[in-house]
Amino acid sequence: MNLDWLQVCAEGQTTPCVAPIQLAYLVALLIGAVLLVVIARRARDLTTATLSLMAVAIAINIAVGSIAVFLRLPIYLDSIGTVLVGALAGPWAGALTGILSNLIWSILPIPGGAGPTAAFFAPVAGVIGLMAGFWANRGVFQVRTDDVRVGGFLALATGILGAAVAFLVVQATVGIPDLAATEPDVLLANQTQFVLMALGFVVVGVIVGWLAGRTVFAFQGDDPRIRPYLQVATAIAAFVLVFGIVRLLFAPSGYFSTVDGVLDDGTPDDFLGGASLTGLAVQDPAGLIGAFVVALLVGAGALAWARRGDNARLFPVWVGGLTTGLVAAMISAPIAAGVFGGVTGGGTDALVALFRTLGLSVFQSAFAQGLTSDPLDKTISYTIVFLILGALPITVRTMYSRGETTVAE
Amino acid sequence: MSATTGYFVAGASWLHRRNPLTKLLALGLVLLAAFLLPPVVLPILIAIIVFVAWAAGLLGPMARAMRIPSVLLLSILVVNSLFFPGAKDILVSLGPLSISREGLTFGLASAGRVLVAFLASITFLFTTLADDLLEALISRGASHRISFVVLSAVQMVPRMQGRAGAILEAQQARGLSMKGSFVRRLRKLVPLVAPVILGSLVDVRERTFALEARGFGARPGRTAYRVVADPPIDRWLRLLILAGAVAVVLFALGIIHP
Repeated sequence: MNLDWLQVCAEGQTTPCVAPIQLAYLVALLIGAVLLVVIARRARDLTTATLSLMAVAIAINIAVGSIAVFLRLPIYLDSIGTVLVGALAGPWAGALTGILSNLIWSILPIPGGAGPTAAFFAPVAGVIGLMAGFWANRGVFQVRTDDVRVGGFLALATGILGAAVAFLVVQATVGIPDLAATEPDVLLANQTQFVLMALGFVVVGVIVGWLAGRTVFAFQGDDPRIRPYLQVATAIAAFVLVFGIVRLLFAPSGYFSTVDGVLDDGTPDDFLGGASLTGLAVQDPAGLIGAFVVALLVGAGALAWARRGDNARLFPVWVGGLTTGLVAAMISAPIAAGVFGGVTGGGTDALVALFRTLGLSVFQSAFAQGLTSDPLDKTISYTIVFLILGALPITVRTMYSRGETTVAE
Repeated sequence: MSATTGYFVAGASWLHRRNPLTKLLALGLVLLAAFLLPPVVLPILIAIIVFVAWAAGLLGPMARAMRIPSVLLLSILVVNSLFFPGAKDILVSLGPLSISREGLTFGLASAGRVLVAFLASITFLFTTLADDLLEALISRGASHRISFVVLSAVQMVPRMQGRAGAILEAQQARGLSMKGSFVRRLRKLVPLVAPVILGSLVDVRERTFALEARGFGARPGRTAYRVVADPPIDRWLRLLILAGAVAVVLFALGIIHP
């Protein structure tokens, strides 16, 4: 049997080969089918209480999600029920809730609804449910500000920070390989180099996180350090987030510097009617100091907020929401790009159009849109679920295996 | 169009009489063909679906349903033809915006795929009641527990809408005004949405007890209240559809050529 055709097509190839997009569709279909079978088998053990909760959660997903579509918000808000089930009844119930939500949403004639588009994103919803169950198991919705398990979350955050620092160091010294190279051989070499580097960053992050968890954050019993550490971590996270966003927008080579009314090849840019926003790209060191001061102010505000009462216990909730959002973006981008050409008819399309004017490809725009919307969306959803769990009567919560331990009183 | 029966259009056409599983498999075949075969087949697929809908007397409902995906299809076409990365071949320039050939081609193919997917699913939903589909799936060994989740979720959505309406009226009677800026209205969603969600979650307890009291979790086999017809011709149709699906996959992988 001749298997020569079994190779992914290169640009302009004429011999029989598998087109990348077709291969992607088939792989996605296969993964979806396997996932559905596994989850359906797992679902046989669900209790009646879980099943009736899932029905309500699906209705919540669809109702709140269709409001978000109707208001043309650039976020989805369609996974609150999924996260809730994942938290109360475990990852498999959560995954099933997510998948069924999207499938049912596509067959219901709801005004302002997304119609059949929702069904294609069912695998993403399934993974969101799995991750919600995973994080609930790790105590995201449970830890108090003096819990020893806070150390694990701090170690994870340190690991992410370590990977980011490694990235910045490499960027400043060796440089990130040019992925826009036109020469195919150079491009391939650069891509390989980039993947290797990315793997290196992940390894650095894992090692840093593991070491931090074993040393600095290895709390025992009623360690008095836990509470201040968590408050400081909340402040640092807010600082890093704001500093990153400000630098992305206002840095000398940041977003606003690219909006100069002229395209790379010298022709006038049509974006915003050719307006030049380079004045907003503040030169260093003034820009650096400015970003630092703004981020410091926000960080100080976050610290003051975190010191009040038990507010800092939202930090693990946000770690869970943020990571879930990153994974969701990674899975939904190929679906959005492959099935809909990146456009899904919701408020997020404005973001897609924006990223395309910045010169990103169809796939990159969909991914950038996901990276903008998903972490924010999932962080908000996790926070809402945390609040719902706190407001839920104990008689309802104790019907579920994890309900009793989900929210500490 | 009631929310509990979904898009279902009552009727007794030849398509209504097919077994739900046959129609589900046919829908799968159409989706497979739309996404795996080159875009040239899209007009053919659209013609076939429209012909099937005409033969079942569903052209009117189908035309009315077209307003559902219209925004999505328009967005796909507009965003792609106006903002296509790396487009060189400009067809028309409209002031600051221009339509590119690459973007239009890509947009047409994407919109065509979505249109086929929509038309095929809507024809399926027009002629199939969710109850019948789930009953047919249960008789093939699917879990009755998951079917319960699906059916009660479908019925829960309109009930939740009704509850939301009642709560809105109650809060307005207490002086909640839904006027003001966008952010203001967004903030006023909280006293509306929170009682809806918490109230439905509290109801879960009652429903669970009611279900358990009626033997929902009982082990022995159960009998069906609805009996879904499975005419002999459906068996052959399903075999035919499966063979078609295999052919589409083999063609997409480049193993067979026309």
